[in-house]
Amino acid sequence: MSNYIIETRNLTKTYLAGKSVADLSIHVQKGRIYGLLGRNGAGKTTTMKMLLGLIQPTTGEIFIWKKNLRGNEKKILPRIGSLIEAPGFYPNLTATENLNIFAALRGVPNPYAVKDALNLVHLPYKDKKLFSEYSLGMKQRLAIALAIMHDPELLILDEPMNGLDPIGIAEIRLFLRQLCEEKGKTILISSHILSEISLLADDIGILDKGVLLEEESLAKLEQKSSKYIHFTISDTAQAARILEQSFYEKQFLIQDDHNIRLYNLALSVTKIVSVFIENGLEVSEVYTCEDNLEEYFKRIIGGKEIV
Amino acid sequence: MEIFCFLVLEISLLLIIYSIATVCRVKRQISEVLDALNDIKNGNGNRRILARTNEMIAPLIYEINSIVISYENKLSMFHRVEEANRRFMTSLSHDVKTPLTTLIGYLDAAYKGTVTGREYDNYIEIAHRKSHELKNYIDMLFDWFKLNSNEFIIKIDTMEVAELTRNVLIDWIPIFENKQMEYHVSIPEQPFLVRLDPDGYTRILNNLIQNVIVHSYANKIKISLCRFENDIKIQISDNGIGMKSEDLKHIFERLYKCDKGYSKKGSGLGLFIAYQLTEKMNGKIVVESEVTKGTVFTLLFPLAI
Repeated sequence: MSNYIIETRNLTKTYLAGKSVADLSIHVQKGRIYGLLGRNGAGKTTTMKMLLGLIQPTTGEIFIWKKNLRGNEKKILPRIGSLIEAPGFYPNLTATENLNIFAALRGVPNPYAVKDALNLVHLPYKDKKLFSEYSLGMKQRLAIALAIMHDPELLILDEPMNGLDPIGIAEIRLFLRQLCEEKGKTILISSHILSEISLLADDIGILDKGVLLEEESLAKLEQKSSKYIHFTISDTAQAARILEQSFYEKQFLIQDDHNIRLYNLALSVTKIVSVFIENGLEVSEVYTCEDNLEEYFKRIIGGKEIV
Repeated sequence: MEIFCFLVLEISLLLIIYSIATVCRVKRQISEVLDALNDIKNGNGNRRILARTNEMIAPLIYEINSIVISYENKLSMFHRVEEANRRFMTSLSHDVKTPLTTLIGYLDAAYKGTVTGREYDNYIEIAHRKSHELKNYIDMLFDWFKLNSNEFIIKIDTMEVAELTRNVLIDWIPIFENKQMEYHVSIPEQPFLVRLDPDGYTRILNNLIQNVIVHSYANKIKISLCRFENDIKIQISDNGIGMKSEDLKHIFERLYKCDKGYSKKGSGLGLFIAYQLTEKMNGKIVVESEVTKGTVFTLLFPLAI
C-alpha cells in the first residue's frame, strides 16, 4: 500500500486564458518534504489552491490521506496548515491578538498554542506592536506561525521564504527539516529557487507551464547528476593499489569486488585502463558520468534558466 | 397569573432547546474526537484534536493531545536511534569498504610476490599505516554511533586538567616530529581543577589535533592552556590553509567535509564528535579561521570551585 499523504490524479485547471495546470499527478509521501519547483506562472500556486479547496479543479481528483478532497473538506482541511499568499490579518491588532482570533475560530491542540507558535518564529508574545507596523519579514514569520499554530500533520507552504533575510531563511529551513525529521510531519513547499529546494526537499516535482516534467527524490537526482568514472574490473583491491601507486589518486569509492568509482575526472581514462591491463586486470566496462543538477534541470525545462 | 405561566413555559422551552443544542454539539465533538483517536490508534501520532479554549470539553482534549505528544516524542527518539543504526551500517559498508579493500590490494601484491625488495618493504609499511588509519576510523565511527544513540556514557569528575593535557600531548609529540611539524606547547605548572570526563576530554583533544594533521597542511601547531575568567581555555592553533567562512558554519555538523567529492581524507566525524562531547561536558568549542593564515580551535570548560 502506498504511503501517499497527497495524491492527485490528472488534476487540471482551465482558466479563460488557457490551462494553468494540466493533467497533474503528484505524489507526496508521509514524513517527507516535497518541493514543487517552477518558474513564476508555472502553476504552483494554482495547484496549492486546489489542494486547499480554495479553487475547484476543472477536472481531476485530489486525494488527501486517501480521502477524496471533494465532499470531505470539513474533515481534511482542519488537519492542514497552510501559507498561501498573504493571510488576512487585521492591521489594527497585534500579532498575538490576530493569532488569538484564529485560535478561537479553528481551535487549538493546547492552551499555549499561540505563545508556542510565536516563539518558534521568534516573534514576541503579547507585544504592543500592531500588525500594520510589522516589516515584510515579520509579517511572513507571523504567517508561518499561523500555519503551524494548530500543530498540523501536513503543511502546504507557498514560497514561505519570501521576504525573509538570509538568517531567517536558514532558521525556517532548519525548523522545517526538524518538523519533518523529528516529528514526522509532511510538508509540501513551492519555490522558484533551485538551490533553496535542493537544500530542503526530499522529493522534487518540476512544474513548467502547468505540466509536471519530473518527479523524483533528491537523492536519485543527485546520483544522476554526480561526476565520476565508473570501472567494472576483475579485482578492485589491485585497482585501488594501482590508482594510489601509479596515479597518486585517492578520490575513489569501492562499491564491491568488481565496481569502483573514481571522482577525479581530470585523469586520462585510456591511460588508467592501459595500466590496469598491464597489471593483469580485466576491465569489462568503463563509463564517465558528468552532469550537474542545474544543467539537468535546464535540460528538463528545455534550456531555460531556473533562477 | 396567565402571563406568569406563559413566561415559565417560554423559559423552560428555551432551556430545553438550549440543552438539546448543547447535547448535539457535544455529541458531534465526541464523534470527531473518536475519529481522531481511531486515527492515532492506527499509528498516526501526528494527529491533534483541536478545541477552542472556552469549550467545556477543551481540558480533556488538551490532555489527550499532551499524552499523544509525549508518546510521539519517545517514538521519535527510537526512530532517531534507528536512523543512527542505518547510517552506521551505510558508513560501515561504504567508508570502510574502500580503505579496507585498498589495504588488501597492497597486502595481496606483497603476498603474491608482485613486488619485491624495497618496494615490498614499502608496501608493508603502507599496509601497516592504512590498517591503523582504518582502526582509528572505526573507533570514531563507534564513538559517533554511541553519541547518536545516547549510549555514550560520560562520567564527569573533578579532574586536574593541566596534567591530563600533558599526558595526551606526550603521545602526539613523536607524530609531530615524524611529520616535521614545529610544535609549541604552553601549559602552566599550576594545577587547574575542572569538572569533566577524562576519556571524553582525551578524545576531543585527539580529534582536534588529528584534524590539524590531516586537513590543515600546517607546519606549525601551537597548543596552549590557561585560565580565562572562570573557565579554563585550551587553544589549538595552526598555520595551515584555513577555512572559508561558509565552511566554518558547518564544520561541527556530522559528515561535513570541506573538500567536497569523495575525498578519502577524513570521515567528517572527528569534529562532530568533538563538538558533541564538549557540549555534553558543559563546555564550549569555538573555531576561528582565515584562509591561507590558519585556524584556531578554542575549548572552554568551567573551572570547578
